[in-house]
Amino acid sequence: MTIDTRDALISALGNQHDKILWDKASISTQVSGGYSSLWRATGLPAQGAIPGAAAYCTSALLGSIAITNQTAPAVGYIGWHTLTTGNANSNLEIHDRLAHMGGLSGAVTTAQNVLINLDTINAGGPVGDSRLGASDFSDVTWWLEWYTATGATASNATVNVTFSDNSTGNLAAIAVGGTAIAASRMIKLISNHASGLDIKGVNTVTLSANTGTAGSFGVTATRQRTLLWTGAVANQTATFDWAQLGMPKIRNNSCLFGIMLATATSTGTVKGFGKIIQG
Amino acid sequence: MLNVGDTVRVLTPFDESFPETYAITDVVTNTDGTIVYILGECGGFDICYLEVV
Repeated sequence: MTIDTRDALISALGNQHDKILWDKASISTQVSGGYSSLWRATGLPAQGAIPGAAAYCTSALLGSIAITNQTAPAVGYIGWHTLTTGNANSNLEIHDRLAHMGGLSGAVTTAQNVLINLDTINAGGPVGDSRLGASDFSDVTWWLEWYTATGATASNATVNVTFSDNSTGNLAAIAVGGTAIAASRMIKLISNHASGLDIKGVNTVTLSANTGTAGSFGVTATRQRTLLWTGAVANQTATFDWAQLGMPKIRNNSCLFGIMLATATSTGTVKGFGKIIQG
Repeated sequence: MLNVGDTVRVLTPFDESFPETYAITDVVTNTDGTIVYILGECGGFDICYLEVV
Protein backbone atom coordinates (compact mmCIF):
# COMPACT_ATOMS: atom_id res chain seq x y z
CA MET A 1 0.00 0.00 0.00
CA THR A 2 1.52 3.36 -1.01
CA ILE A 3 2.03 5.52 2.05
CA ASP A 4 0.07 8.61 1.06
CA THR A 5 -2.64 8.59 3.74
CA ARG A 6 -2.63 8.54 7.53
CA ASP A 7 -4.23 5.10 7.45
CA ALA A 8 -1.41 3.79 5.27
CA LEU A 9 1.15 5.42 7.57
CA ILE A 10 -0.40 3.83 10.67
CA SER A 11 -0.58 0.46 8.98
CA ALA A 12 3.06 0.61 7.93
CA LEU A 13 4.21 1.70 11.39
CA GLY A 14 2.48 -1.30 12.87
CA ASN A 15 2.89 -3.94 10.22
CA GLN A 16 5.45 -3.18 7.49
CA HIS A 17 8.85 -1.90 8.59
CA ASP A 18 12.52 -2.62 9.14
CA LYS A 19 13.96 -1.69 12.49
CA ILE A 20 16.93 0.60 13.15
CA LEU A 21 18.97 -0.14 16.27
CA TRP A 22 21.65 2.16 17.67
CA ASP A 23 23.88 1.28 20.63
CA LYS A 24 27.13 3.06 19.98
CA ALA A 25 30.01 3.59 22.39
CA SER A 26 31.30 7.07 22.99
CA ILE A 27 34.21 8.34 20.88
CA SER A 28 36.73 10.51 22.71
CA THR A 29 39.08 13.25 21.59
CA GLN A 30 36.47 15.05 19.52
CA VAL A 31 35.94 18.78 19.20
CA SER A 32 32.86 20.61 20.42
CA GLY A 33 31.29 22.21 17.38
CA GLY A 34 32.98 19.76 15.02
CA TYR A 35 31.49 16.80 13.19
CA SER A 36 32.11 13.23 14.33
CA SER A 37 31.54 10.09 12.30
CA LEU A 38 30.01 7.08 14.04
CA TRP A 39 31.24 4.77 11.24
CA ARG A 40 34.08 3.50 13.41
CA ALA A 41 32.22 3.62 16.74
CA THR A 42 31.85 0.19 18.32
CA GLY A 43 28.49 -1.34 19.15
CA LEU A 44 25.38 -1.39 16.96
CA PRO A 45 25.50 -1.04 14.01
CA ALA A 46 28.82 -2.91 13.98
CA GLN A 47 32.02 -0.95 13.63
CA GLY A 48 32.65 -0.22 9.96
CA ALA A 49 36.00 -1.03 8.37
CA ILE A 50 38.56 1.63 7.48
CA PRO A 51 38.21 1.97 3.71
CA GLY A 52 41.07 1.60 1.27
CA ALA A 53 40.72 2.57 -2.38
CA ALA A 54 37.63 4.46 -3.52
CA ALA A 55 34.54 2.29 -3.14
CA TYR A 56 30.78 2.46 -3.58
CA CYS A 57 28.94 2.01 -0.29
CA THR A 58 25.81 -0.11 0.11
CA SER A 59 23.78 -1.60 2.92
CA ALA A 60 25.89 -4.77 2.58
CA LEU A 61 28.85 -3.01 4.21
CA LEU A 62 29.66 -3.83 7.82
CA GLY A 63 28.79 -0.66 9.69
CA SER A 64 25.61 0.05 7.74
CA ILE A 65 22.13 -0.31 9.16
CA ALA A 66 20.50 -3.35 7.56
CA ILE A 67 17.56 -2.56 5.28
CA THR A 68 15.26 -4.61 3.06
CA ASN A 69 15.22 -3.50 -0.56
CA GLN A 70 11.76 -2.73 -1.86
CA THR A 71 10.15 -3.48 -5.22
CA ALA A 72 8.97 -0.32 -6.96
CA PRO A 73 6.72 1.54 -6.48
CA ALA A 74 7.19 0.65 -2.79
CA VAL A 75 9.95 2.56 -1.00
CA GLY A 76 11.20 2.85 2.58
CA TYR A 77 10.86 5.90 4.80
CA ILE A 78 12.17 6.63 8.27
CA GLY A 79 8.81 6.89 10.02
CA TRP A 80 9.59 6.86 13.73
CA HIS A 81 12.69 7.06 15.90
CA THR A 82 13.90 7.41 19.49
CA LEU A 83 17.25 8.82 20.62
CA THR A 84 19.07 8.60 23.96
CA THR A 85 22.50 10.19 24.24
CA GLY A 86 25.11 10.06 26.96
CA ASN A 87 25.79 13.78 26.49
CA ALA A 88 23.00 16.29 26.95
CA ASN A 89 22.00 18.56 24.07
CA SER A 90 23.28 16.14 21.44
CA ASN A 91 22.18 15.43 17.91
CA LEU A 92 22.35 12.53 15.48
CA GLU A 93 22.27 13.01 11.73
CA ILE A 94 21.43 9.89 9.74
CA HIS A 95 23.28 9.91 6.43
CA ASP A 96 23.39 7.61 3.43
CA ARG A 97 27.08 6.88 2.90
CA LEU A 98 27.42 6.93 -0.89
CA ALA A 99 31.15 6.43 -1.40
CA HIS A 100 34.37 6.52 0.59
CA MET A 101 38.09 5.99 0.53
CA GLY A 102 40.84 6.03 3.14
CA GLY A 103 44.57 5.65 3.57
CA LEU A 104 45.55 9.26 2.90
CA SER A 105 48.69 10.10 4.87
CA GLY A 106 49.23 13.11 7.07
CA ALA A 107 52.94 12.86 6.36
CA VAL A 108 52.90 13.12 2.54
CA THR A 109 53.22 16.48 0.78
CA THR A 110 52.65 15.35 -2.81
CA ALA A 111 49.20 15.03 -4.36
CA GLN A 112 47.45 11.92 -3.05
CA ASN A 113 44.82 10.21 -5.19
CA VAL A 114 41.24 10.05 -3.98
CA LEU A 115 39.55 9.21 -7.30
CA ILE A 116 35.90 9.27 -6.22
CA ASN A 117 33.51 10.28 -9.01
CA LEU A 118 29.84 9.71 -8.31
CA ASP A 119 29.18 9.21 -12.05
CA THR A 120 31.42 6.13 -12.18
CA ILE A 121 31.89 4.85 -8.61
CA ASN A 122 29.26 2.11 -8.91
CA ALA A 123 31.10 -0.51 -10.99
CA GLY A 124 31.80 2.07 -13.67
CA GLY A 125 28.35 3.57 -13.45
CA PRO A 126 26.61 6.20 -11.36
CA VAL A 127 25.28 6.01 -7.82
CA GLY A 128 22.13 3.97 -8.20
CA ASP A 129 18.57 3.67 -6.98
CA SER A 130 17.94 7.42 -6.68
CA ARG A 131 20.25 7.58 -3.68
CA LEU A 132 21.88 10.70 -5.10
CA GLY A 133 18.83 12.91 -4.78
CA ALA A 134 19.10 15.95 -7.06
CA SER A 135 20.95 15.24 -10.33
CA ASP A 136 23.11 18.36 -9.88
CA PHE A 137 24.75 16.77 -6.80
CA SER A 138 23.34 19.48 -4.54
CA ASP A 139 22.08 16.85 -2.07
CA VAL A 140 25.57 15.37 -1.63
CA THR A 141 27.84 16.36 1.24
CA TRP A 142 31.57 15.74 0.94
CA TRP A 143 33.85 15.23 3.90
CA LEU A 144 37.40 14.62 4.95
CA GLU A 145 37.07 11.78 7.46
CA TRP A 146 39.77 10.66 9.89
CA TYR A 147 40.40 6.98 10.73
CA THR A 148 43.60 7.32 12.78
CA ALA A 149 45.02 10.57 14.10
CA THR A 150 47.37 12.69 12.05
CA GLY A 151 49.95 14.97 13.62
CA ALA A 152 49.94 18.36 15.30
CA THR A 153 52.34 20.19 12.98
CA ALA A 154 50.49 22.95 11.14
CA SER A 155 49.48 22.02 7.60
CA ASN A 156 46.82 22.86 5.02
CA ALA A 157 44.96 20.55 2.65
CA THR A 158 44.14 21.56 -0.90
CA VAL A 159 41.41 19.34 -2.31
CA ASN A 160 41.07 19.09 -6.09
CA VAL A 161 37.51 18.32 -7.17
CA THR A 162 35.34 17.78 -10.23
CA PHE A 163 32.27 20.00 -10.30
CA SER A 164 28.89 18.99 -11.68
CA ASP A 165 29.75 20.49 -15.10
CA ASN A 166 32.88 18.30 -15.23
CA SER A 167 35.22 21.26 -14.73
CA THR A 168 37.89 20.80 -12.08
CA GLY A 169 39.33 23.11 -9.48
CA ASN A 170 40.81 23.41 -6.00
CA LEU A 171 38.72 24.11 -2.95
CA ALA A 172 39.85 26.72 -0.44
CA ALA A 173 42.66 25.39 1.74
CA ILE A 174 41.59 23.56 4.90
CA ALA A 175 43.71 23.63 8.05
CA VAL A 176 44.48 20.02 8.99
CA GLY A 177 47.32 20.56 11.43
CA GLY A 178 48.17 22.88 14.27
CA THR A 179 46.47 20.38 16.52
CA ALA A 180 46.26 16.64 15.93
CA ILE A 181 43.01 15.60 14.28
CA ALA A 182 41.70 12.48 16.01
CA ALA A 183 40.01 9.43 14.56
CA SER A 184 36.32 9.89 13.66
CA ARG A 185 36.64 13.65 13.14
CA MET A 186 35.07 14.95 9.95
CA ILE A 187 35.59 18.22 8.08
CA LYS A 188 33.01 19.27 5.52
CA LEU A 189 34.21 20.19 2.01
CA ILE A 190 32.50 23.29 0.63
CA SER A 191 32.26 24.03 -3.07
CA ASN A 192 33.80 27.34 -4.07
CA HIS A 193 32.73 27.25 -7.71
CA ALA A 194 32.17 30.76 -9.05
CA SER A 195 28.71 29.79 -10.35
CA GLY A 196 27.70 27.84 -7.27
CA LEU A 197 28.05 24.40 -8.85
CA ASP A 198 28.25 21.42 -6.55
CA ILE A 199 30.87 18.70 -6.37
CA LYS A 200 30.47 15.40 -8.18
CA GLY A 201 33.92 13.99 -7.50
CA VAL A 202 37.11 14.42 -5.50
CA ASN A 203 40.35 13.82 -7.38
CA THR A 204 43.31 14.49 -5.08
CA VAL A 205 44.29 15.87 -1.68
CA THR A 206 47.61 17.72 -1.26
CA LEU A 207 49.05 18.71 2.11
CA SER A 208 51.22 21.80 2.39
CA ALA A 209 53.38 20.18 5.08
CA ASN A 210 53.99 16.93 6.93
CA THR A 211 51.77 17.01 10.04
CA GLY A 212 54.34 14.84 11.81
CA THR A 213 52.21 11.68 11.91
CA ALA A 214 50.99 9.68 8.94
CA GLY A 215 47.73 8.55 10.51
CA SER A 216 44.97 7.75 8.04
CA PHE A 217 42.23 9.90 6.64
CA GLY A 218 40.07 9.86 3.56
CA VAL A 219 37.16 11.34 1.64
CA THR A 220 33.50 10.38 2.15
CA ALA A 221 30.41 11.38 0.17
CA THR A 222 27.06 11.29 1.97
CA ARG A 223 23.47 12.38 1.60
CA GLN A 224 21.80 13.48 4.82
CA ARG A 225 18.41 11.85 5.43
CA THR A 226 17.27 13.20 8.77
CA LEU A 227 18.28 14.78 12.09
CA LEU A 228 17.39 13.86 15.68
CA TRP A 229 18.34 15.65 18.88
CA THR A 230 18.20 15.31 22.66
CA GLY A 231 17.58 17.92 25.35
CA ALA A 232 19.24 19.24 28.43
CA VAL A 233 19.27 15.99 30.43
CA ALA A 234 21.73 13.25 29.55
CA ASN A 235 20.37 9.74 28.96
CA GLN A 236 16.80 11.01 28.63
CA THR A 237 14.99 9.57 25.62
CA ALA A 238 13.55 11.79 22.91
CA THR A 239 10.95 10.46 20.47
CA PHE A 240 10.40 11.63 16.89
CA ASP A 241 7.38 10.96 14.68
CA TRP A 242 7.17 10.92 10.89
CA ALA A 243 6.55 14.66 10.64
CA GLN A 244 9.50 15.61 12.84
CA LEU A 245 11.75 13.29 10.87
CA GLY A 246 10.56 14.67 7.53
CA MET A 247 9.76 11.13 6.45
CA PRO A 248 12.90 10.82 4.28
CA LYS A 249 12.88 8.15 1.58
CA ILE A 250 15.39 5.37 2.20
CA ARG A 251 16.34 4.09 -1.25
CA ASN A 252 17.39 0.53 -1.99
CA ASN A 253 20.94 -0.33 -0.96
CA SER A 254 21.31 2.80 1.20
CA CYS A 255 24.28 2.61 3.56
CA LEU A 256 22.85 4.36 6.62
CA PHE A 257 25.20 5.53 9.35
CA GLY A 258 25.40 8.29 11.92
CA ILE A 259 27.19 11.64 12.09
CA MET A 260 27.10 13.88 15.14
CA LEU A 261 27.80 17.57 15.53
CA ALA A 262 29.73 17.18 18.77
CA THR A 263 28.69 19.32 21.71
CA ALA A 264 31.53 18.09 23.93
CA THR A 265 34.98 16.56 23.53
CA SER A 266 33.40 13.15 23.17
CA THR A 267 30.35 12.02 21.20
CA GLY A 268 28.80 10.35 24.23
CA THR A 269 26.97 7.05 23.95
CA VAL A 270 24.21 6.84 21.36
CA LYS A 271 21.18 4.59 21.79
CA GLY A 272 18.02 4.54 19.75
CA PHE A 273 15.36 2.56 17.98
CA GLY A 274 13.65 3.44 14.72
CA LYS A 275 11.33 2.14 12.03
CA ILE A 276 11.90 2.22 8.28
CA ILE A 277 8.32 1.91 7.10
CA GLN A 278 7.66 0.45 3.66
CA GLY A 279 4.99 1.12 1.09
CA MET B 1 66.98 26.19 4.39
CA LEU B 2 64.83 29.19 5.17
CA ASN B 3 64.84 31.30 8.31
CA VAL B 4 62.42 33.07 10.58
CA GLY B 5 61.80 36.50 9.15
CA ASP B 6 62.29 35.50 5.50
CA THR B 7 59.55 36.75 3.18
CA VAL B 8 58.11 34.10 0.88
CA ARG B 9 55.36 33.55 -1.64
CA VAL B 10 53.32 30.37 -1.65
CA LEU B 11 53.41 28.13 -4.70
CA THR B 12 50.78 26.04 -6.54
CA PRO B 13 48.35 24.59 -5.51
CA PHE B 14 48.23 26.64 -2.32
CA ASP B 15 48.74 30.02 -3.98
CA GLU B 16 45.00 30.27 -4.69
CA SER B 17 44.25 30.33 -0.98
CA PHE B 18 47.41 32.19 0.02
CA PRO B 19 48.02 34.73 -2.79
CA GLU B 20 50.18 37.27 -0.94
CA THR B 21 53.69 37.29 0.44
CA TYR B 22 54.22 36.17 4.01
CA ALA B 23 56.93 36.22 6.66
CA ILE B 24 58.15 32.98 8.19
CA THR B 25 57.25 33.17 11.89
CA ASP B 26 58.53 29.79 13.06
CA VAL B 27 60.45 26.73 11.89
CA VAL B 28 59.32 23.32 13.15
CA THR B 29 61.26 20.07 12.80
CA ASN B 30 59.17 16.90 12.89
CA THR B 31 60.49 13.78 14.62
CA ASP B 32 61.29 12.29 11.21
CA GLY B 33 63.51 15.27 10.41
CA THR B 34 61.17 17.02 7.97
CA ILE B 35 61.13 20.78 8.34
CA VAL B 36 57.94 22.84 8.26
CA TYR B 37 57.89 26.61 7.87
CA ILE B 38 55.10 28.40 9.71
CA LEU B 39 53.61 31.47 8.07
CA GLY B 40 51.79 32.89 11.06
CA GLU B 41 48.11 32.10 10.99
CA CYS B 42 48.41 30.65 7.48
CA GLY B 43 49.82 27.46 8.87
CA GLY B 44 52.73 25.26 7.89
CA PHE B 45 54.38 24.71 4.52
CA ASP B 46 57.05 22.42 3.17
CA ILE B 47 59.90 24.23 1.40
CA CYS B 48 58.70 22.80 -1.91
CA TYR B 49 55.64 25.10 -1.70
CA LEU B 50 57.57 28.26 -0.83
CA GLU B 51 59.70 30.70 -2.83
CA VAL B 52 61.76 33.45 -1.26
CA VAL B 53 60.93 36.91 -2.59
